[in-house]
Amino acid sequence: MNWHVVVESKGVLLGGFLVTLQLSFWAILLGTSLGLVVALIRTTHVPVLSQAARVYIDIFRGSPLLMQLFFVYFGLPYLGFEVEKWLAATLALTLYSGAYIAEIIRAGMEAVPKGHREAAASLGLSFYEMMRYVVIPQTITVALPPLIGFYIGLVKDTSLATIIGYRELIRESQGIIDRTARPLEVYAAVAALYFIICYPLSVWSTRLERRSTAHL
Amino acid sequence: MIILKNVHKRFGNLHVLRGVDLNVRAGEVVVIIGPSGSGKSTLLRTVNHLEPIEKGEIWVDGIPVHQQKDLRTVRSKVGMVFQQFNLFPHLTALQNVTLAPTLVLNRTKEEPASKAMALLKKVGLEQKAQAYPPQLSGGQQQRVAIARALAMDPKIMLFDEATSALDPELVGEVLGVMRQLAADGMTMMVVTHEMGFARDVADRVVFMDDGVVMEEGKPEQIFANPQNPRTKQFLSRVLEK
Amino acid sequence: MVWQGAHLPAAASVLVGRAGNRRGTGAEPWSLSPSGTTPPRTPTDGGITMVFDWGAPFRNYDLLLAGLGVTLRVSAIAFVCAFAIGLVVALARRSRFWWLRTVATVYVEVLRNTPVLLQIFVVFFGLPSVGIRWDAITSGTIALALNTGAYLAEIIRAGIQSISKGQIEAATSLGLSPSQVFQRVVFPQALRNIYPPVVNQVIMVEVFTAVTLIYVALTATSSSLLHLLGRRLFPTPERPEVGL
Repeated sequence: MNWHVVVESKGVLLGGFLVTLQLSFWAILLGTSLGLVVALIRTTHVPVLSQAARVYIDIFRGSPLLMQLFFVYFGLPYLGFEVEKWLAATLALTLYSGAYIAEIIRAGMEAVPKGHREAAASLGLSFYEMMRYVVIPQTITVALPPLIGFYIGLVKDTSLATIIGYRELIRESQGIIDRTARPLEVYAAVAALYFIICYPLSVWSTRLERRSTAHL
Repeated sequence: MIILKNVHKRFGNLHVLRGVDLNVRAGEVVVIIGPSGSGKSTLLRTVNHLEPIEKGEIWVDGIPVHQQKDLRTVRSKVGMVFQQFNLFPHLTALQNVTLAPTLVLNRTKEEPASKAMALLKKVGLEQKAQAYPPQLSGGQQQRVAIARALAMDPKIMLFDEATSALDPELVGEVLGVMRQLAADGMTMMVVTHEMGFARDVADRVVFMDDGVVMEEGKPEQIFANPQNPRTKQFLSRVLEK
Repeated sequence: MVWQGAHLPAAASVLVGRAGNRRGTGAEPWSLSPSGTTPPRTPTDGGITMVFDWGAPFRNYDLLLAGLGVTLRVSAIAFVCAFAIGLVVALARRSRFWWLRTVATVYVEVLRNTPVLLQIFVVFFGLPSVGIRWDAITSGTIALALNTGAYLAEIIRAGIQSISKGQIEAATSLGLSPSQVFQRVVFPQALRNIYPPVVNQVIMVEVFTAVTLIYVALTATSSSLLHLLGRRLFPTPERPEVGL
């Protein structure tokens, strides 16, 4: 095992790692915002809006992320838009995660028993007060573990951007491997980098889940 | 039949059983009463070693349970009925009853099956033999659980608050089965809140509190004339209805 | 670099339809064609113009079906292996030997917290350096089986743990031995309980198989297939290095 190559290429590796983190960050931020909006639209009682949201969710949850990525990266230019890799990756990941997050949030909202809303109403709380003090806190408790689980998946999914040539961690590592012909050491380093992001998150998510069901 | 000598048990820092001495003779029906947290259920569960003990001796039909050898034999001699029934939901009532005899006593298929039907008949449920537990009422499930325990031909039956989880109108049918068992001469240790049952069926009533036996005696004695002040206190609270 | 990026969808769509079969008869779902409309060139992409030929998939339905067949076969094999792996690992995690528990836990955590793509790469690109050289489809299947196995191990373990203590007590008090309790009471119920998440994993395997086949088959035949495509698309003597 020659770990030298890893140390020598650490600059490139960290550069790729940073790109991965960046992509993950934006995908999480934008995806969550989008998901929130879509979840709210989905739960309004206006048929057209709610249906539209439903269609969006079904499309982006029902098709593979890779295909979505391809459509964005190769399809948009055909429609006349210039698409750079970072934009395509971010856009595809945002649309993809928006759909999943919308469902997670919706499930969280529905997990709040109807009786709580009724109790809030009978206590005289306004809609805003009810949402803020009764519904949303409980939604967050229920939705947070699956949300974090999804974020972990997102960080890993950024690796798919390799396929369109985006210079995230895996692509950069491939370059190093081509140069040094020591794949296992480099892959180990790459795996370690993903691991130190994903594992703590998954431990946190498990702990949250335990805490949120413990009081039931 | 059952000898409990100086039994101690701790759950972490909680000293639940603090030196319990109790003897049960063959054919005797002993009813254990007491406030929650007194250790009565825990005591019952030490008899078939569902709970191991730290100190003391437990003898069941001559077998030293506390030495943890030969537990399978002990358990085939001691049947237990739980508060939550604990029927196996993926098996029919009949299968629930035949499972243990087939596996533990290594009987062939026909014998347990016909015996199981006889037992189900005895508890009044032969028509529900093919039903699954979720399809049965609480009282029916508990009666199947009794049949299941009886299928092992036990010499002793332990009842751990067998009716506490039942709706009031279903309690009677289960108590009826228990009375019949007692009348047939089964050795029974019963933890319960049903004072009526204790008064009518028990040969001996044992009052437990704080992990020890406070008082024991014939039902008439205990209910009409309790000696220990704690017994008096408990009974006055419970018999208020 | 740019060159590769531009031709990936071509390769992808070709390969999804023709896993292994390298005919390039111009029946691709897109083609360079001077006839018909020409969409504007996209400078950032290095100049590939595309006209969508929507009839292509239908003309070549037999190839697409063959491709589907491969996908289904791979995902089926991977899933069956994954379930076996998951069962073994789940039991290992509950074993009384601490070293067995540790190995199983490390396996599960590493495979669940690193990307599938990376795992496929390790099997396909990494193992040859220690002498193990499997073809693309086998590598993909193995990597998928290992990865899905880790997820299934967690699902199965959670299913077993969810069986209430009361069931175990009832079975124990009837005299059943621990292995009998597990086999006859705990495990059958656990299997029933985990059915929904397991189905979910089946879907995931499907999806990942598609990803795997596209990428791995692509790179497996990279030199030949991409050069083939490249020759058809860019009939010039110049050719940049392919370095996927």
